[in-house]
Amino acid sequence: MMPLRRLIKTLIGDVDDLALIRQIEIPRIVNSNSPRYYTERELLEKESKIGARIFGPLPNGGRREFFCLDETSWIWYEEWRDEKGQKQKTTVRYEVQDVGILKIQEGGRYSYLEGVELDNFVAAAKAYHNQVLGLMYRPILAKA
Amino acid sequence: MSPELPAGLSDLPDLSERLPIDASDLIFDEKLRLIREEIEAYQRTLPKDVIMSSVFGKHKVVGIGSHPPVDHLNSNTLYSEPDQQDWPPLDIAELTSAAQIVSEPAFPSPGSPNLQDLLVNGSERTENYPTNDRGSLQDVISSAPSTPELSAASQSYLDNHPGEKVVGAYDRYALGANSPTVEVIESKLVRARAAAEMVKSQALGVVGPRLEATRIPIQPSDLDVDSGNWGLAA
Repeated sequence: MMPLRRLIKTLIGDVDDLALIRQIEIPRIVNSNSPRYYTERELLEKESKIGARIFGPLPNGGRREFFCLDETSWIWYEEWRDEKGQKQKTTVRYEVQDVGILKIQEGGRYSYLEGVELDNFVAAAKAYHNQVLGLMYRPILAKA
Repeated sequence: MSPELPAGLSDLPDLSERLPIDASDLIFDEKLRLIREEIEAYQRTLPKDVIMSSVFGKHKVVGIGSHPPVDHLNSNTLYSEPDQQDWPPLDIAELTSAAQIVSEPAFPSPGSPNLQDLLVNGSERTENYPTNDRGSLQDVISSAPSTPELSAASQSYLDNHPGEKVVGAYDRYALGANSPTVEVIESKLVRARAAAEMVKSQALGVVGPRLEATRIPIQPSDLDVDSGNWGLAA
Protein backbone atom coordinates (compact mmCIF):
# COMPACT_ATOMS: atom_id res chain seq x y z
CA MET A 1 0.00 0.00 0.00
CA MET A 2 1.44 3.34 -1.04
CA PRO A 3 1.66 5.85 1.83
CA LEU A 4 -0.78 8.74 1.54
CA ARG A 5 1.95 11.35 1.32
CA ARG A 6 3.69 9.60 -1.55
CA LEU A 7 0.41 8.97 -3.32
CA ILE A 8 -0.51 12.65 -3.16
CA LYS A 9 2.93 13.62 -4.31
CA THR A 10 2.62 11.28 -7.24
CA LEU A 11 -0.76 12.67 -8.20
CA ILE A 12 -0.48 16.38 -7.67
CA GLY A 13 3.15 17.15 -6.96
CA ASP A 14 5.00 18.06 -3.84
CA VAL A 15 2.77 19.00 -0.94
CA ASP A 16 4.50 19.97 2.26
CA ASP A 17 1.54 20.96 4.26
CA LEU A 18 -0.75 18.04 4.60
CA ALA A 19 -3.08 20.19 6.67
CA LEU A 20 -4.23 21.65 3.39
CA ILE A 21 -5.15 18.23 2.23
CA ARG A 22 -7.33 17.69 5.24
CA GLN A 23 -9.36 20.72 4.25
CA ILE A 24 -10.25 19.25 0.92
CA GLU A 25 -13.70 17.80 1.00
CA ILE A 26 -13.74 14.61 -0.94
CA PRO A 27 -17.32 14.01 -2.00
CA ARG A 28 -18.67 10.60 -1.43
CA ILE A 29 -18.91 9.59 -5.02
CA VAL A 30 -19.40 5.90 -4.46
CA ASN A 31 -22.73 4.75 -3.11
CA SER A 32 -21.97 1.61 -1.17
CA ASN A 33 -25.06 -0.04 -2.58
CA SER A 34 -24.59 0.99 -6.16
CA PRO A 35 -24.86 -1.98 -8.50
CA ARG A 36 -21.53 -3.23 -9.67
CA TYR A 37 -20.03 -6.23 -11.37
CA TYR A 38 -18.75 -8.98 -9.13
CA THR A 39 -15.92 -11.27 -10.06
CA GLU A 40 -16.30 -15.01 -9.95
CA ARG A 41 -13.97 -15.08 -6.96
CA GLU A 42 -16.07 -12.58 -5.05
CA LEU A 43 -19.21 -14.57 -5.71
CA LEU A 44 -17.45 -17.69 -4.65
CA GLU A 45 -16.57 -16.10 -1.33
CA LYS A 46 -20.24 -15.31 -0.78
CA GLU A 47 -21.17 -18.86 -1.66
CA SER A 48 -18.68 -20.12 0.85
CA LYS A 49 -20.38 -18.22 3.64
CA ILE A 50 -23.59 -20.01 2.78
CA GLY A 51 -21.76 -23.30 2.44
CA ALA A 52 -20.27 -22.94 5.89
CA ARG A 53 -23.73 -22.73 7.42
CA ILE A 54 -24.76 -26.11 6.06
CA PHE A 55 -22.82 -27.84 8.79
CA GLY A 56 -24.33 -25.96 11.68
CA PRO A 57 -22.90 -23.39 14.06
CA LEU A 58 -19.21 -22.87 14.46
CA PRO A 59 -17.45 -23.29 17.77
CA ASN A 60 -16.01 -20.17 19.33
CA GLY A 61 -12.92 -19.03 17.54
CA GLY A 62 -13.65 -21.28 14.63
CA ARG A 63 -13.90 -20.56 10.96
CA ARG A 64 -15.22 -22.65 8.15
CA GLU A 65 -15.31 -22.46 4.40
CA PHE A 66 -17.16 -24.87 2.20
CA PHE A 67 -17.62 -24.16 -1.45
CA CYS A 68 -17.76 -25.59 -4.91
CA LEU A 69 -14.68 -24.31 -6.69
CA ASP A 70 -15.61 -25.57 -10.14
CA GLU A 71 -17.40 -28.46 -11.82
CA THR A 72 -15.18 -31.06 -10.22
CA SER A 73 -13.65 -29.49 -7.11
CA TRP A 74 -15.07 -28.80 -3.69
CA ILE A 75 -13.17 -27.27 -0.81
CA TRP A 76 -13.72 -27.60 2.88
CA TYR A 77 -11.61 -25.54 5.26
CA GLU A 78 -11.94 -25.57 9.00
CA GLU A 79 -10.18 -23.59 11.69
CA TRP A 80 -10.57 -24.26 15.38
CA ARG A 81 -8.86 -23.98 18.75
CA ASP A 82 -7.60 -27.13 20.38
CA GLU A 83 -7.65 -27.87 24.12
CA LYS A 84 -4.55 -25.76 24.62
CA GLY A 85 -6.06 -22.84 22.78
CA GLN A 86 -3.78 -23.32 19.83
CA LYS A 87 -5.23 -22.57 16.42
CA GLN A 88 -5.61 -25.61 14.23
CA LYS A 89 -6.70 -25.75 10.64
CA THR A 90 -7.31 -28.25 7.93
CA THR A 91 -8.08 -28.03 4.25
CA VAL A 92 -9.68 -30.82 2.29
CA ARG A 93 -10.20 -30.84 -1.43
CA TYR A 94 -12.75 -33.16 -2.94
CA GLU A 95 -12.18 -34.07 -6.54
CA VAL A 96 -15.17 -35.46 -8.38
CA GLN A 97 -14.12 -38.16 -10.79
CA ASP A 98 -16.18 -40.50 -12.92
CA VAL A 99 -15.47 -43.37 -10.59
CA GLY A 100 -16.07 -41.60 -7.29
CA ILE A 101 -15.11 -38.68 -5.12
CA LEU A 102 -11.48 -38.42 -4.20
CA LYS A 103 -10.71 -36.79 -0.88
CA ILE A 104 -7.38 -35.03 -0.85
CA GLN A 105 -5.98 -33.89 2.46
CA GLU A 106 -2.87 -32.01 3.33
CA GLY A 107 0.17 -34.16 3.79
CA GLY A 108 -0.48 -36.25 0.73
CA ARG A 109 -3.37 -38.21 2.17
CA TYR A 110 -6.02 -39.15 -0.31
CA SER A 111 -8.83 -41.66 -0.42
CA TYR A 112 -12.12 -42.21 -2.14
CA LEU A 113 -15.17 -41.34 -0.08
CA GLU A 114 -17.36 -44.22 0.92
CA GLY A 115 -20.04 -45.22 3.36
CA VAL A 116 -21.55 -42.58 5.60
CA GLU A 117 -18.94 -40.03 4.63
CA LEU A 118 -19.93 -40.38 0.99
CA ASP A 119 -23.61 -40.04 1.86
CA ASN A 120 -22.92 -36.97 3.93
CA PHE A 121 -20.90 -35.34 1.21
CA VAL A 122 -23.61 -35.90 -1.35
CA ALA A 123 -26.16 -34.45 1.07
CA ALA A 124 -23.92 -31.43 1.65
CA ALA A 125 -23.50 -30.87 -2.08
CA LYS A 126 -27.25 -30.99 -2.56
CA ALA A 127 -27.85 -28.58 0.31
CA TYR A 128 -25.18 -26.25 -1.05
CA HIS A 129 -26.73 -26.31 -4.49
CA ASN A 130 -30.20 -25.65 -3.17
CA GLN A 131 -29.23 -22.86 -0.82
CA VAL A 132 -26.76 -21.07 -3.05
CA LEU A 133 -29.12 -21.23 -5.97
CA GLY A 134 -32.27 -20.43 -4.03
CA LEU A 135 -30.91 -17.73 -1.76
CA MET A 136 -28.31 -16.14 -3.96
CA TYR A 137 -28.44 -16.65 -7.70
CA ARG A 138 -32.11 -17.07 -8.43
CA PRO A 139 -33.09 -13.74 -6.82
CA ILE A 140 -30.15 -11.95 -8.43
CA LEU A 141 -30.75 -13.33 -11.89
CA ALA A 142 -34.48 -12.75 -11.59
CA LYS A 143 -33.82 -9.06 -10.99
CA ALA A 144 -31.58 -8.76 -14.02
CA MET B 1 -5.23 -15.78 -3.61
CA SER B 2 -7.80 -13.72 -1.85
CA PRO B 3 -7.18 -13.36 1.88
CA GLU B 4 -10.81 -14.33 2.39
CA LEU B 5 -10.13 -17.79 1.09
CA PRO B 6 -8.49 -20.55 3.01
CA ALA B 7 -4.79 -20.03 3.11
CA GLY B 8 -4.22 -23.72 2.64
CA LEU B 9 -5.75 -23.73 -0.81
CA SER B 10 -2.68 -22.41 -2.46
CA ASP B 11 -0.58 -24.99 -0.73
CA LEU B 12 -2.40 -28.04 -1.99
CA PRO B 13 -0.02 -30.17 -3.94
CA ASP B 14 -0.87 -31.54 -7.32
CA LEU B 15 -1.48 -35.16 -6.51
CA SER B 16 -2.56 -36.23 -9.93
CA GLU B 17 0.68 -38.00 -10.62
CA ARG B 18 0.93 -39.66 -7.24
CA LEU B 19 -2.35 -41.49 -7.03
CA PRO B 20 -1.77 -45.06 -6.06
CA ILE B 21 -4.94 -46.16 -7.76
CA ASP B 22 -4.75 -47.94 -11.02
CA ALA B 23 -7.47 -46.23 -12.99
CA SER B 24 -7.74 -49.11 -15.37
CA ASP B 25 -8.96 -51.16 -12.46
CA LEU B 26 -12.00 -48.96 -12.16
CA ILE B 27 -13.32 -48.96 -15.68
CA PHE B 28 -16.90 -49.93 -15.28
CA ASP B 29 -17.57 -51.31 -18.73
CA GLU B 30 -14.89 -53.85 -18.21
CA LYS B 31 -16.57 -54.97 -15.02
CA LEU B 32 -19.87 -55.37 -16.77
CA ARG B 33 -18.20 -57.56 -19.31
CA LEU B 34 -16.73 -59.65 -16.54
CA ILE B 35 -20.08 -59.81 -14.78
CA ARG B 36 -21.69 -61.04 -17.93
CA GLU B 37 -19.04 -63.64 -18.55
CA GLU B 38 -19.09 -64.91 -15.00
CA ILE B 39 -22.84 -65.08 -14.75
CA GLU B 40 -23.05 -66.98 -17.96
CA ALA B 41 -20.37 -69.34 -16.77
CA TYR B 42 -22.04 -69.94 -13.44
CA GLN B 43 -25.42 -70.40 -15.00
CA ARG B 44 -23.96 -73.22 -16.99
CA THR B 45 -22.06 -74.90 -14.22
CA LEU B 46 -23.54 -74.13 -10.85
CA PRO B 47 -26.79 -75.05 -9.14
CA LYS B 48 -29.59 -72.55 -9.47
CA ASP B 49 -29.11 -71.19 -5.98
CA VAL B 50 -25.71 -69.73 -6.71
CA ILE B 51 -26.53 -67.07 -9.20
CA MET B 52 -23.72 -64.68 -9.69
CA SER B 53 -20.21 -63.87 -8.88
CA SER B 54 -18.67 -60.84 -10.40
CA VAL B 55 -15.41 -59.08 -10.36
CA PHE B 56 -15.42 -55.39 -9.58
CA GLY B 57 -11.86 -54.42 -10.02
CA LYS B 58 -9.89 -56.15 -7.33
CA HIS B 59 -13.02 -57.07 -5.44
CA LYS B 60 -15.13 -60.10 -5.81
CA VAL B 61 -18.88 -59.69 -5.67
CA VAL B 62 -20.71 -62.85 -4.88
CA GLY B 63 -24.38 -63.51 -5.17
CA ILE B 64 -26.13 -66.19 -3.22
CA GLY B 65 -29.67 -67.31 -3.58
CA SER B 66 -32.22 -67.89 -6.26
CA HIS B 67 -32.41 -64.97 -8.56
CA PRO B 68 -35.58 -62.92 -8.68
CA PRO B 69 -37.25 -61.71 -11.83
CA VAL B 70 -34.56 -59.45 -13.05
CA ASP B 71 -36.82 -56.65 -14.10
CA HIS B 72 -37.82 -56.33 -10.47
CA LEU B 73 -34.30 -55.80 -9.26
CA ASN B 74 -34.63 -52.09 -8.96
CA SER B 75 -38.26 -51.72 -8.04
CA ASN B 76 -40.38 -51.98 -4.96
CA THR B 77 -42.19 -54.93 -6.38
CA LEU B 78 -39.16 -57.07 -5.94
CA TYR B 79 -40.27 -60.40 -4.60
CA SER B 80 -43.86 -59.36 -4.40
CA GLU B 81 -44.73 -62.91 -5.40
CA PRO B 82 -43.06 -64.84 -2.61
CA ASP B 83 -44.66 -68.11 -3.52
CA GLN B 84 -43.46 -68.09 -7.03
CA GLN B 85 -41.01 -70.91 -7.50
CA ASP B 86 -40.15 -70.73 -11.14
CA TRP B 87 -38.37 -67.54 -11.73
CA PRO B 88 -37.95 -66.42 -15.30
CA PRO B 89 -34.59 -67.02 -16.87
CA LEU B 90 -31.90 -64.61 -15.77
CA ASP B 91 -31.66 -61.80 -18.24
CA ILE B 92 -28.04 -60.80 -18.31
CA ALA B 93 -28.56 -57.52 -20.08
CA GLU B 94 -31.21 -56.38 -17.65
CA LEU B 95 -29.25 -57.53 -14.65
CA THR B 96 -26.15 -55.67 -15.64
CA SER B 97 -28.22 -52.64 -16.46
CA ALA B 98 -29.90 -52.80 -13.08
CA ALA B 99 -26.55 -53.24 -11.39
CA GLN B 100 -25.44 -49.94 -12.81
CA ILE B 101 -28.21 -47.91 -11.31
CA VAL B 102 -28.68 -49.57 -7.96
CA SER B 103 -26.91 -47.22 -5.62
CA GLU B 104 -28.65 -48.10 -2.38
CA PRO B 105 -29.92 -51.33 -0.94
CA ALA B 106 -33.22 -51.86 -2.74
CA PHE B 107 -34.96 -52.73 0.48
CA PRO B 108 -34.44 -52.11 4.14
CA SER B 109 -33.62 -55.23 6.02
CA PRO B 110 -35.48 -55.07 9.32
CA GLY B 111 -35.40 -58.80 9.71
CA SER B 112 -31.83 -59.40 8.80
CA PRO B 113 -29.62 -56.91 10.56
CA ASN B 114 -26.92 -59.45 11.12
CA LEU B 115 -26.57 -60.34 7.51
CA GLN B 116 -26.77 -56.75 6.44
CA ASP B 117 -24.17 -55.73 8.99
CA LEU B 118 -21.93 -58.55 8.08
CA LEU B 119 -22.06 -57.75 4.43
CA VAL B 120 -21.49 -54.08 4.96
CA ASN B 121 -18.82 -54.60 7.56
CA GLY B 122 -17.32 -57.34 5.51
CA SER B 123 -17.05 -55.02 2.60
CA GLU B 124 -15.52 -52.41 4.88
CA ARG B 125 -12.96 -54.94 5.96
CA THR B 126 -12.19 -55.67 2.37
CA GLU B 127 -11.29 -52.06 1.86
CA ASN B 128 -9.52 -51.26 5.06
CA TYR B 129 -7.75 -54.32 6.33
CA PRO B 130 -4.91 -56.46 5.11
CA THR B 131 -5.76 -59.24 2.74
CA ASN B 132 -5.75 -61.97 5.34
CA ASP B 133 -8.40 -60.21 7.38
CA ARG B 134 -10.98 -59.66 4.72
CA GLY B 135 -14.51 -60.82 4.93
CA SER B 136 -15.04 -64.17 3.36
CA LEU B 137 -17.86 -65.81 1.56
CA GLN B 138 -17.97 -68.31 4.35
CA ASP B 139 -18.81 -65.48 6.76
CA VAL B 140 -21.83 -64.62 4.70
CA ILE B 141 -23.03 -68.14 4.15
CA SER B 142 -22.73 -69.11 7.77
CA SER B 143 -24.71 -66.08 8.86
CA ALA B 144 -27.54 -66.33 6.40
CA PRO B 145 -30.63 -68.37 7.11
CA SER B 146 -30.60 -70.81 4.32
CA THR B 147 -31.98 -73.94 2.79
CA PRO B 148 -29.99 -77.14 2.67
CA GLU B 149 -29.84 -76.79 -1.08
CA LEU B 150 -28.45 -73.31 -0.85
CA SER B 151 -25.92 -74.33 1.73
CA ALA B 152 -24.78 -77.22 -0.37
CA ALA B 153 -24.53 -75.11 -3.46
CA SER B 154 -22.73 -72.37 -1.64
CA GLN B 155 -20.32 -74.79 -0.06
CA SER B 156 -19.66 -76.25 -3.45
CA TYR B 157 -18.91 -72.81 -4.72
CA LEU B 158 -16.58 -72.17 -1.83
CA ASP B 159 -14.76 -75.41 -2.38
CA ASN B 160 -14.12 -74.41 -5.94
CA HIS B 161 -13.17 -70.85 -5.12
CA PRO B 162 -10.91 -70.96 -2.08
CA GLY B 163 -10.09 -67.63 -0.51
CA GLU B 164 -13.02 -65.87 -2.09
CA LYS B 165 -13.44 -62.27 -1.01
CA VAL B 166 -16.80 -60.72 -0.48
CA VAL B 167 -17.95 -57.22 -1.19
CA GLY B 168 -21.65 -57.72 -1.46
CA ALA B 169 -24.26 -60.31 -2.04
CA TYR B 170 -27.83 -60.92 -2.95
CA ASP B 171 -29.60 -63.21 -0.57
CA ARG B 172 -33.11 -64.28 -1.09
CA TYR B 173 -33.08 -66.02 2.24
CA ALA B 174 -32.13 -63.11 4.41
CA LEU B 175 -35.49 -63.12 6.11
CA GLY B 176 -35.91 -66.83 6.05
CA ALA B 177 -37.53 -69.15 3.57
CA ASN B 178 -41.03 -68.07 4.53
CA SER B 179 -40.36 -64.45 3.87
CA PRO B 180 -38.19 -64.37 0.83
CA THR B 181 -36.60 -61.02 0.34
CA VAL B 182 -33.72 -59.97 -1.71
CA GLU B 183 -31.17 -57.64 -0.36
CA VAL B 184 -29.21 -55.77 -2.89
CA ILE B 185 -26.02 -54.78 -1.24
CA GLU B 186 -24.56 -52.20 -3.47
CA SER B 187 -21.16 -52.50 -4.86
CA LYS B 188 -19.00 -49.68 -3.64
CA LEU B 189 -18.05 -48.86 -7.14
CA VAL B 190 -21.59 -48.46 -8.36
CA ARG B 191 -22.48 -46.37 -5.37
CA ALA B 192 -19.42 -44.15 -5.65
CA ARG B 193 -20.07 -43.64 -9.34
CA ALA B 194 -23.67 -42.63 -8.73
CA ALA B 195 -22.60 -40.25 -5.97
CA ALA B 196 -20.01 -38.65 -8.20
CA GLU B 197 -22.59 -38.07 -10.92
CA MET B 198 -24.95 -36.51 -8.41
CA VAL B 199 -22.32 -34.18 -6.96
CA LYS B 200 -21.18 -33.16 -10.40
CA SER B 201 -24.70 -32.25 -11.40
CA GLN B 202 -25.06 -30.14 -8.26
CA ALA B 203 -21.79 -28.36 -9.04
CA LEU B 204 -22.84 -27.64 -12.59
CA GLY B 205 -26.08 -26.22 -11.25
CA VAL B 206 -24.11 -23.66 -9.29
CA VAL B 207 -21.21 -22.88 -11.59
CA GLY B 208 -23.47 -21.87 -14.48
CA PRO B 209 -25.46 -19.25 -12.55
CA ARG B 210 -22.24 -18.03 -10.92
CA LEU B 211 -20.76 -17.27 -14.31
CA GLU B 212 -24.00 -15.66 -15.43
CA ALA B 213 -23.99 -13.46 -12.33
CA THR B 214 -20.58 -12.05 -13.22
CA ARG B 215 -22.11 -10.53 -16.34
CA ILE B 216 -24.71 -8.42 -14.61
CA PRO B 217 -24.41 -5.53 -12.15
CA ILE B 218 -25.47 -6.60 -8.68
CA GLN B 219 -26.47 -4.49 -5.74
CA PRO B 220 -24.12 -5.29 -2.86
CA SER B 221 -27.08 -5.54 -0.52
CA ASP B 222 -28.28 -8.49 -2.58
CA LEU B 223 -25.13 -10.31 -1.62
CA ASP B 224 -24.89 -9.25 1.98
CA VAL B 225 -24.68 -12.76 3.26
CA ASP B 226 -23.43 -11.55 6.64
CA SER B 227 -26.66 -9.72 7.25
CA GLY B 228 -28.84 -11.43 9.77
CA ASN B 229 -31.94 -11.25 7.62
CA TRP B 230 -30.26 -11.85 4.31
CA GLY B 231 -31.96 -14.47 2.25
CA LEU B 232 -35.16 -14.39 4.26
CA ALA B 233 -37.01 -12.70 1.43
CA ALA B 234 -35.78 -15.20 -1.10
